[in-house]
Amino acid sequence: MSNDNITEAATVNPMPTRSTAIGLVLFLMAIAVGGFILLRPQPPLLPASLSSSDYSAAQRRYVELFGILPEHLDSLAIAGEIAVSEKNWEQAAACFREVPTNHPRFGASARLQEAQVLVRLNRAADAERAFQTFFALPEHRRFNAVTLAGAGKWLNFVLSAQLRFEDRKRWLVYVHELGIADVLDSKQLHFPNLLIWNSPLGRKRCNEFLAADPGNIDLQVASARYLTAEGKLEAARESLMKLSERHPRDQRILAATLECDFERNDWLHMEDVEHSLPQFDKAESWLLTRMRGELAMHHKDWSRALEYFQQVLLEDPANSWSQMGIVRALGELGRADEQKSARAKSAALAKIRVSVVKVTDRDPGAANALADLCNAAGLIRAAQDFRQHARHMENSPVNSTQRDSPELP
Amino acid sequence: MMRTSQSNDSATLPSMMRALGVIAAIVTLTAGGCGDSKPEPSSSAPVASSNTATLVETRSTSKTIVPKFRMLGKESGFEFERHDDINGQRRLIEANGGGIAVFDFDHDGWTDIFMTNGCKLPLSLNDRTTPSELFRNQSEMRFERATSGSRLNQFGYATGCAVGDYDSDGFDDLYVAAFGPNTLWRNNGDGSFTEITHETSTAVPQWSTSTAFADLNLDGLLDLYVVNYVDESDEHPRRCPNPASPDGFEQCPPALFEGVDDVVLLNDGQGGFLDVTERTKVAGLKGKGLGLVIADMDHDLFPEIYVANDGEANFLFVVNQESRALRHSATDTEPWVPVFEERAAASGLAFNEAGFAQASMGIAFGDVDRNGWPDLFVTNFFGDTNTLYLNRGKLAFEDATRASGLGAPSRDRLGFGTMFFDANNDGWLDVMVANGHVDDREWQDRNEPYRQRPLLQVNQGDGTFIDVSDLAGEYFQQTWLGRALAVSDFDHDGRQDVVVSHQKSGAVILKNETQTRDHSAHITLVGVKSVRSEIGSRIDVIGTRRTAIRHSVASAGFQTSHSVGVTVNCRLDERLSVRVTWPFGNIQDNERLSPGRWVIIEGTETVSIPR
Repeated sequence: MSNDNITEAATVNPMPTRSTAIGLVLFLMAIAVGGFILLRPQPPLLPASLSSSDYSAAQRRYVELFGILPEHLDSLAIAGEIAVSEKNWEQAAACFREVPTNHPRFGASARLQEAQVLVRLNRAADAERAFQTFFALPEHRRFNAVTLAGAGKWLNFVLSAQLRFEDRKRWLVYVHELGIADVLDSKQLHFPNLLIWNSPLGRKRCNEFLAADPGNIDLQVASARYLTAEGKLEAARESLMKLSERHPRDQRILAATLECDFERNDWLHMEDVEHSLPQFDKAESWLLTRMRGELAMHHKDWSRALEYFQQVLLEDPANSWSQMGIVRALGELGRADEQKSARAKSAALAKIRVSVVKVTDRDPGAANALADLCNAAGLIRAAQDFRQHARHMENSPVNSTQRDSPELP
Repeated sequence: MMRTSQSNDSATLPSMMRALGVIAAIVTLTAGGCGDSKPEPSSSAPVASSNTATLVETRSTSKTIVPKFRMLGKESGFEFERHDDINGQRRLIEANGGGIAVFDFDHDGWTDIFMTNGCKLPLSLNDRTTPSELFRNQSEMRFERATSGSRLNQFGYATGCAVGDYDSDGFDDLYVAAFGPNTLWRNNGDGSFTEITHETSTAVPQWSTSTAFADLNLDGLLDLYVVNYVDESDEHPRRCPNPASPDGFEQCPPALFEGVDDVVLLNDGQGGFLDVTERTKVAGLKGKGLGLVIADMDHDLFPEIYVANDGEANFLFVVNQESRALRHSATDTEPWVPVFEERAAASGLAFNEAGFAQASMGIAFGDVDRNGWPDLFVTNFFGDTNTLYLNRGKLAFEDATRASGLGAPSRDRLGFGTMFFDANNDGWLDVMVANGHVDDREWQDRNEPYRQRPLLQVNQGDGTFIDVSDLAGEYFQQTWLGRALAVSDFDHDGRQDVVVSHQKSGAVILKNETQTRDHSAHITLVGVKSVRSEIGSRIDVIGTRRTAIRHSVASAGFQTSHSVGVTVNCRLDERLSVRVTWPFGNIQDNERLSPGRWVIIEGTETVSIPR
C-alpha cells in the first residue's frame, strides 16, 4: 500500500461517516416501526360471514348495554344476537360457535342461542348437542323460567320430529322437575303414544332435518317410520332394508323394521329379524320391546308376551298398543278377571286419548277432567301433574311459560 | 224346490193379507248354481262384450277380475247436487253431507233412489229451495225426477234415511233423519207419500245421522232406531276461529261437543211409535253416532245394534238374557221391550287393535271371509286406517285390518260411505269406500288433501284385499268429497251398480261393466209371519265347498238404507241351494234355483221373476 492510498482514504472519511449515520438512523427507524407493527394489538379474526362493520356495530351495542368496551368474544356474542334479530341464521351460528362454553358472561347463552339457530338451520344433531351442553352447565339454572321452558321446547321439538320418545321423556321429566312444564309438556310426558305423532307437520320437519344431515341414522329411521305410519309400507320397507344392510345390528333400525313388517303382516320377515335381535335390555326402545311382545304373541308364548307388554307399560304407562296386548295375552292365558281389568284400563286410555285434545292451558275444567280419567286409569303421576296445571290456571289465569317456540309436530 | 221347517219360536201371526201383498219384483237370474271359488283364468270367451276383462295377478294362484265402473252422465236423468250451506264458517254441520236410500217405491220392479238434501241455516229461515229428491228408475239406467209427483216434499237439513214397510202394507215407507226434527213418510202405494211424523210420534229433534227400520222386539213389525250425533246449536253453532285460515275459521273437532243419546222407537202396531229409549237402556251413553248396522250377528235370532261413534268407543247393543226370558210374556197391549246391554269392548268392536277409539263414520256389513259369520268394516279419519272386524262367532270380533291389506291404502284418505258387495261377481264380497275430507285444510300445508280418491278393494278370497282403484274406471281416478254410498243392480244385468253422494259436486251413478263369466242371483224375501220385508233375515247359499251368507239388513254404510234384496254370485250352469232363516227362526229351504231374480215368500212359495 502506498502513502497515496492512505491519503485518499483520509480524504474520503467525512462522507462515509454521514452515510453511516443516516443508515443507522434509518435502521433504527425500521426497527422501531417493525417493533411497533409486531407488538401492537392484532385486529380480531372474524367469522367469514361477519363483516367488520357488523362487528363494529356489535361493539357499539355492547358499550350501550354495559358501559364498557367489549372484548372480542363479547362482541361476537352480541353480533350473534343481532344476527338472530335479523334472522341471519348462518351468521348467528358462526358467531355463537366462536364463543366458548366457559365464557363467564356469554358461554351458556351462546350455547343456548346457537342451539336454537341450529334448529332453524335444520341441523338437528348439532342443535341437540348444543342444547345438551347448555343443560349440562350449572349456570343454566340462572336463566329464568320462561327461557328454560323455551329451551326445553326447542329440544323437545328436535327429539319429537325424530320420534325419539325415550330421549324426549328424559328431558320432559327434567322440565317437570324444574317446575316449568306446561300442559303440552305434560301431555307429551305422560301420553307419548296416545298423541298423534305421525302428523304431516312432523313428517315435514323430519324431512327438513334429514336434508341437512342425510347420514343421520335417527332421522333416517324416523323418516321410514313416518312412511309406515302413512301406509307407504313398501317404501318404508325399502328404506329400512337399505339401512339395515349398512347397519345390520342397529336396534333403532331393527325396531322400525319390525314395526313396518307388523303393519305389512309379514311374520316371515319378522321372524328373520327376530334372529338378529340382541338380548332384551330394559333400556331398549319401547317400540322394540313392544315388537318383542307381538312376536311372542305370534309364537303363542302368551306369558312372555305379557312380560314384554308390561315392561313397555313400566316406561310408558299409557301405551295403548301394549295395554291391548296385555288384554289379548291374558285372554289366551285364560285369566278372565285380569283381562277384564286390563280391558277397562284400555277403555280408560281410549277416553284419555280423546280428552287430551280438549285440554289447553286456559281451561282448568278440562285439565281436571283429564286428571280424573288418569286417576281412573291408574296414571297417578299424570293425574297429579294435570291437577297441578288446573290449579295453576285457576290461580294465575295469565299463562305462560312458552317462548318463541317453533311450531311443534 | 222349497221346504219349510217351523222354528220352535212362534209369534203373533200377521194377517195372510200380507201374503197377498207379494211384490211382483222382477229378478233376472243369469246363472244357476252357486260357485264358491274364484273364477279361473279361462280360455273360453267371457260374457258377450267387446271389452275384455282386466285381470290382476294377485297373491293367490288365480287371477282377480278387476271390477269396472262407468260414470253415468246427465243423459241418465240422474242429476243431484246436495246443498250443505257451506259458507266459510266451517261449522261442524257442514262436514257430513247427506244420505241415500235405494228402494222400489212404486213396485215396478226397478230400484229407485232417494237423495237427502240440506238447506240454508238456521232452520228458522225455513228454506224450501233445496228439497231432497226422489228419482224413479225407468230401467236401462234412465232415471226421472219424481219428487213433486210423489209429493215427497222433504225440506230441511236432511241427513240419513231409512226404508222399511213399517205398516206392513207391502210398500216401503221412508224415514228421513235430519239436523232438527226427523220426518216419517208413509208410502201410499200409488206412487205418492204422505208425511205422518206428528201422528206417529217420530219427530226426534236432535241432530240425527243414520237410522234404520228393524224388528227389535221380534213382533213382526218394524221399529226404528235413530242414531244421534252431537249437541250443536242451530241458531248459534260453535265456531273455532283461526286467523290464519282463509275464512278466519277452522272446523271444530267433535271432541269439543257433547254426545247425544240415540233413540229407540217401538212400532205400536196401531200406526204409531213409542219412544222406549229409556226402557231399552240405550239411554245415558251419549255417543256421537254416525254409522249404524242392525242385524243378528250371532245367529241367535235377536238383533244386535252396532253404532259407530265419532272419536269415541263404538257401541254394540245386545239384548240381555233377563230381557230375553221375558219376551214371551208380551201381550197385545203390553209389547215386549227388549233391554240392551252395551258390549262393544267385550266383543272387540269398541276400539281398534291399538286400543284407539276411531273417527268411525260408515260401516260395511257382510261375511267377507265366508266363515258363516257376518263381519264389520268401519271407515275412519285421515292418518288412520279403516278397520276390519272379523266375526269369529259368539259375538267375538277381531281386528284383522293389517292382515287384510285394507288398512294401509286408507291412511291417506278420510272415509265415509262404504259397502261390501260382490263387485266382480266372483262370489267374494269386495269393498268400496267414498272418501273426502271434512275440512279444507290445504291452507295449513299439512299434506291433507280436501278432495280425495275413492277406494275399491277386491277380496282375493284368502283373507286379503287388493286395491284396484287405479284400474276400476274414471270415477276412481278423480278426487271427490265422497259421502254416502249405496249399491243396487239398477239395470238388472246381474252386476251391482253404485250410487255415491258428494259435497260440492253432483252425485253419481256408477254402472258396473265388469266383464266376467259369472252371473248372479238376486233374491227378494217377503215375510208373512215375520216382517213383511226381508229386514232381519239371513240367506245361506250353499255351494259345493263353502257357504255364502248374506244378511238382509236395512242400514249399513253411512246414512244409507237399502231395501233391495240380496245378491249372490253363481255360475251359469249351477243351481243354488238357498236356505232362508226368517227373523223368527223358521227355516225355508229352496233347491236348485237357477240364475236370475227370485222372490221367496215366507212359508209358501218361491217365484222366479222374468226380466
